[in-house]
Amino acid sequence: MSSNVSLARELTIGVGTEPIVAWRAWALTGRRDGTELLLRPVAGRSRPWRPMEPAEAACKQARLHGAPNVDCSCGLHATHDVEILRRTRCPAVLGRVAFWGRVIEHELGYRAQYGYPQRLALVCQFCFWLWGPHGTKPAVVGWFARDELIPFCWQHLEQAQRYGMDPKRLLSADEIDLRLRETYAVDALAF
Amino acid sequence: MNIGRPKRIIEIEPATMPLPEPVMPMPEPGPAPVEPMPAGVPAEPPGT
Repeated sequence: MSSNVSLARELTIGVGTEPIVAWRAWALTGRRDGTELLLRPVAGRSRPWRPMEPAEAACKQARLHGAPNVDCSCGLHATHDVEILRRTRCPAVLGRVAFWGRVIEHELGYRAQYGYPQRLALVCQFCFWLWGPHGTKPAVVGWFARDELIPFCWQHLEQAQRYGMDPKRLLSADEIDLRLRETYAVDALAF
Repeated sequence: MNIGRPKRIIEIEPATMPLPEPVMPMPEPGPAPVEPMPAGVPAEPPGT
Protein backbone atom coordinates (compact mmCIF):
# COMPACT_ATOMS: atom_id res chain seq x y z
CA MET A 1 0.00 0.00 0.00
CA SER A 2 1.29 3.47 -0.81
CA SER A 3 2.21 5.66 2.16
CA ASN A 4 0.05 8.39 0.62
CA VAL A 5 -3.13 6.41 1.30
CA SER A 6 -4.90 7.69 4.39
CA LEU A 7 -5.53 5.28 7.26
CA ALA A 8 -8.96 6.88 7.62
CA ARG A 9 -10.23 4.75 4.75
CA GLU A 10 -9.58 1.60 6.78
CA LEU A 11 -11.35 2.75 9.94
CA THR A 12 -15.00 2.50 10.90
CA ILE A 13 -16.76 5.67 12.00
CA GLY A 14 -19.17 5.58 14.92
CA VAL A 15 -21.39 8.15 16.58
CA GLY A 16 -21.98 8.58 20.32
CA THR A 17 -23.57 10.86 22.89
CA GLU A 18 -21.58 9.79 25.97
CA PRO A 19 -18.09 11.26 26.47
CA ILE A 20 -15.24 8.77 26.64
CA VAL A 21 -13.38 8.67 29.96
CA ALA A 22 -9.72 7.64 29.99
CA TRP A 23 -6.47 8.01 31.94
CA ARG A 24 -4.10 10.92 31.51
CA ALA A 25 -1.08 12.54 33.18
CA TRP A 26 -0.21 16.24 33.25
CA ALA A 27 2.60 18.52 34.28
CA LEU A 28 1.68 21.30 36.71
CA THR A 29 2.67 24.96 36.96
CA GLY A 30 1.77 27.64 39.49
CA ARG A 31 3.02 30.69 41.33
CA ARG A 32 5.50 30.65 44.17
CA ASP A 33 2.64 30.75 46.68
CA GLY A 34 0.83 27.84 45.01
CA THR A 35 -1.82 29.95 43.27
CA GLU A 36 -2.70 30.14 39.55
CA LEU A 37 -2.39 26.39 39.10
CA LEU A 38 -2.44 25.17 35.52
CA LEU A 39 -2.43 21.65 34.11
CA ARG A 40 -0.06 21.35 31.16
CA PRO A 41 0.82 18.59 28.71
CA VAL A 42 3.87 16.64 29.90
CA ALA A 43 5.54 16.83 26.51
CA GLY A 44 6.26 19.75 24.24
CA ARG A 45 5.03 23.28 24.61
CA SER A 46 1.40 22.68 23.88
CA ARG A 47 -1.28 24.89 25.32
CA PRO A 48 -2.29 24.49 28.98
CA TRP A 49 -5.61 22.99 30.05
CA ARG A 50 -7.43 26.02 31.44
CA PRO A 51 -9.87 25.69 34.34
CA MET A 52 -13.60 25.67 33.59
CA GLU A 53 -13.17 25.52 29.81
CA PRO A 54 -12.67 22.58 27.48
CA ALA A 55 -9.18 21.88 26.19
CA GLU A 56 -9.19 21.86 22.40
CA ALA A 57 -6.68 19.96 20.31
CA ALA A 58 -4.48 21.87 17.90
CA CYS A 59 -1.93 20.72 15.36
CA LYS A 60 1.15 22.37 13.91
CA GLN A 61 -0.20 21.22 10.58
CA ALA A 62 -3.45 23.09 11.31
CA ARG A 63 -3.48 24.65 7.87
CA LEU A 64 -3.56 21.16 6.41
CA HIS A 65 -5.92 19.39 8.78
CA GLY A 66 -7.98 19.71 11.95
CA ALA A 67 -6.98 17.83 15.10
CA PRO A 68 -7.07 14.95 15.70
CA ASN A 69 -6.19 13.62 12.28
CA VAL A 70 -5.91 9.88 11.66
CA ASP A 71 -2.65 10.22 9.71
CA CYS A 72 -0.98 12.48 12.30
CA SER A 73 -0.19 12.11 16.02
CA CYS A 74 -2.04 15.31 16.97
CA GLY A 75 -4.92 15.57 19.42
CA LEU A 76 -5.40 15.34 23.17
CA HIS A 77 -3.98 12.00 24.34
CA ALA A 78 -5.21 9.57 27.01
CA THR A 79 -4.87 5.84 27.65
CA HIS A 80 -7.13 2.88 28.38
CA ASP A 81 -4.88 1.67 31.17
CA VAL A 82 -3.16 3.73 33.88
CA GLU A 83 -0.05 1.50 33.80
CA ILE A 84 1.02 2.84 30.39
CA LEU A 85 1.32 6.31 31.91
CA ARG A 86 4.21 5.09 34.08
CA ARG A 87 6.38 5.65 30.99
CA THR A 88 5.36 9.33 30.91
CA ARG A 89 8.12 11.88 31.33
CA CYS A 90 7.76 13.83 34.61
CA PRO A 91 4.04 13.49 35.44
CA ALA A 92 2.86 15.66 38.35
CA VAL A 93 -0.88 15.01 38.18
CA LEU A 94 -2.73 11.83 37.33
CA GLY A 95 -6.40 11.77 36.43
CA ARG A 96 -9.44 10.70 34.51
CA VAL A 97 -10.35 12.85 31.55
CA ALA A 98 -13.56 13.11 29.49
CA PHE A 99 -13.16 13.30 25.72
CA TRP A 100 -15.68 14.36 23.08
CA GLY A 101 -15.95 15.81 19.59
CA ARG A 102 -13.87 13.78 17.15
CA VAL A 103 -12.20 10.93 19.06
CA ILE A 104 -9.83 8.43 17.45
CA GLU A 105 -9.64 5.18 19.38
CA HIS A 106 -6.22 3.48 19.28
CA GLU A 107 -5.10 0.06 20.48
CA LEU A 108 -3.91 1.53 23.81
CA GLY A 109 -5.72 4.85 24.13
CA TYR A 110 -7.40 7.78 22.45
CA ARG A 111 -6.71 11.05 20.66
CA ALA A 112 -9.49 13.60 20.95
CA GLN A 113 -10.69 17.01 19.81
CA TYR A 114 -12.06 18.25 23.17
CA GLY A 115 -11.38 17.23 26.76
CA TYR A 116 -11.84 18.20 30.39
CA PRO A 117 -10.46 16.51 33.54
CA GLN A 118 -12.99 14.66 35.68
CA ARG A 119 -10.85 13.47 38.62
CA LEU A 120 -7.35 14.54 39.65
CA ALA A 121 -4.62 13.59 42.11
CA LEU A 122 -1.03 14.71 42.63
CA VAL A 123 1.58 11.97 42.21
CA CYS A 124 5.19 11.64 43.22
CA GLN A 125 6.62 10.89 39.78
CA PHE A 126 9.34 8.63 41.22
CA CYS A 127 6.84 6.54 43.19
CA PHE A 128 4.63 6.38 40.11
CA TRP A 129 7.52 5.15 37.94
CA LEU A 130 8.50 2.55 40.54
CA TRP A 131 5.18 1.29 41.88
CA GLY A 132 2.39 2.68 39.70
CA PRO A 133 -0.63 4.63 40.96
CA HIS A 134 -0.58 2.89 44.36
CA GLY A 135 2.78 4.41 45.29
CA THR A 136 3.30 6.74 48.20
CA LYS A 137 1.14 9.85 48.36
CA PRO A 138 3.20 13.03 47.87
CA ALA A 139 3.89 15.03 51.01
CA VAL A 140 5.22 18.25 49.48
CA VAL A 141 5.19 20.10 46.17
CA GLY A 142 8.45 21.69 45.07
CA TRP A 143 8.35 25.04 43.30
CA PHE A 144 11.05 25.35 40.62
CA ALA A 145 12.17 27.87 38.02
CA ARG A 146 9.64 28.76 35.34
CA ASP A 147 6.83 28.07 37.86
CA GLU A 148 7.16 24.30 37.51
CA LEU A 149 5.53 22.39 40.39
CA ILE A 150 6.73 18.86 41.20
CA PRO A 151 5.15 16.72 43.93
CA PHE A 152 7.45 14.50 46.04
CA CYS A 153 7.12 12.00 48.84
CA TRP A 154 9.68 12.69 51.62
CA GLN A 155 12.01 9.91 50.52
CA HIS A 156 12.19 11.05 46.90
CA LEU A 157 12.50 14.72 47.85
CA GLU A 158 15.63 13.78 49.80
CA GLN A 159 17.01 11.80 46.85
CA ALA A 160 16.18 14.59 44.39
CA GLN A 161 17.97 17.16 46.56
CA ARG A 162 20.99 14.86 46.88
CA TYR A 163 21.29 14.88 43.08
CA GLY A 164 20.95 18.64 42.75
CA MET A 165 17.23 18.88 42.02
CA ASP A 166 16.55 21.40 44.75
CA PRO A 167 13.17 23.17 44.87
CA LYS A 168 13.28 26.91 45.50
CA ARG A 169 10.29 26.53 47.81
CA LEU A 170 8.25 23.70 49.35
CA LEU A 171 4.46 23.77 49.55
CA SER A 172 2.04 21.39 51.27
CA ALA A 173 0.88 18.66 48.86
CA ASP A 174 -2.50 18.43 50.59
CA GLU A 175 -3.10 22.16 50.09
CA ILE A 176 -2.04 22.11 46.42
CA ASP A 177 -4.11 18.97 45.79
CA LEU A 178 -7.22 20.62 47.25
CA ARG A 179 -6.59 23.92 45.47
CA LEU A 180 -6.08 22.10 42.16
CA ARG A 181 -9.41 20.29 42.52
CA GLU A 182 -11.16 23.51 43.51
CA THR A 183 -9.60 25.36 40.58
CA TYR A 184 -10.85 22.79 38.06
CA ALA A 185 -14.01 22.00 40.10
CA VAL A 186 -13.41 18.24 39.96
CA ASP A 187 -13.35 15.37 42.45
CA ALA A 188 -10.38 13.55 43.91
CA LEU A 189 -9.08 10.55 42.03
CA ALA A 190 -9.67 7.34 43.99
CA PHE A 191 -7.21 4.55 43.22
CA MET B 1 3.70 8.10 24.25
CA ASN B 2 2.89 5.26 21.90
CA ILE B 3 -0.81 4.35 22.00
CA GLY B 4 -0.67 1.88 19.12
CA ARG B 5 -2.48 1.87 15.82
CA PRO B 6 -5.81 3.65 15.28
CA LYS B 7 -8.85 1.35 15.38
CA ARG B 8 -11.90 3.53 14.78
CA ILE B 9 -13.18 7.09 14.72
CA ILE B 10 -16.01 8.15 17.01
CA GLU B 11 -17.89 11.42 16.62
CA ILE B 12 -19.24 12.27 20.08
CA GLU B 13 -21.82 14.98 20.62
CA PRO B 14 -22.57 14.75 24.34
CA ALA B 15 -26.09 15.55 25.48
CA THR B 16 -24.54 17.38 28.43
CA MET B 17 -21.05 18.86 28.39
CA PRO B 18 -18.69 17.15 30.84
CA LEU B 19 -17.73 20.51 32.31
CA PRO B 20 -18.37 21.78 35.84
CA GLU B 21 -21.42 23.94 36.35
CA PRO B 22 -20.50 27.63 36.42
CA VAL B 23 -20.67 28.98 39.96
CA MET B 24 -23.36 31.63 40.32
CA PRO B 25 -22.16 34.68 42.26
CA MET B 26 -23.87 35.10 45.62
CA PRO B 27 -26.23 38.11 45.69
CA GLU B 28 -25.00 40.93 47.86
CA PRO B 29 -26.90 41.10 51.15
CA GLY B 30 -29.42 43.94 51.10
CA PRO B 31 -31.15 45.67 54.03
CA ALA B 32 -33.12 43.39 56.31
CA PRO B 33 -36.79 43.19 55.31
CA VAL B 34 -39.06 45.39 57.39
CA GLU B 35 -42.02 43.58 58.89
CA PRO B 36 -45.26 45.40 58.15
CA MET B 37 -47.08 46.83 61.14
CA PRO B 38 -50.14 44.69 61.91
CA ALA B 39 -53.40 46.45 61.03
CA GLY B 40 -55.28 47.93 63.92
CA VAL B 41 -52.25 48.36 66.12
CA PRO B 42 -51.68 51.98 66.96
CA ALA B 43 -48.30 53.39 66.14
CA GLU B 44 -48.06 54.83 69.61
CA PRO B 45 -49.52 53.48 72.77
CA PRO B 46 -52.85 55.03 73.69
CA GLY B 47 -52.74 58.06 75.91
CA THR B 48 -50.89 57.74 79.08
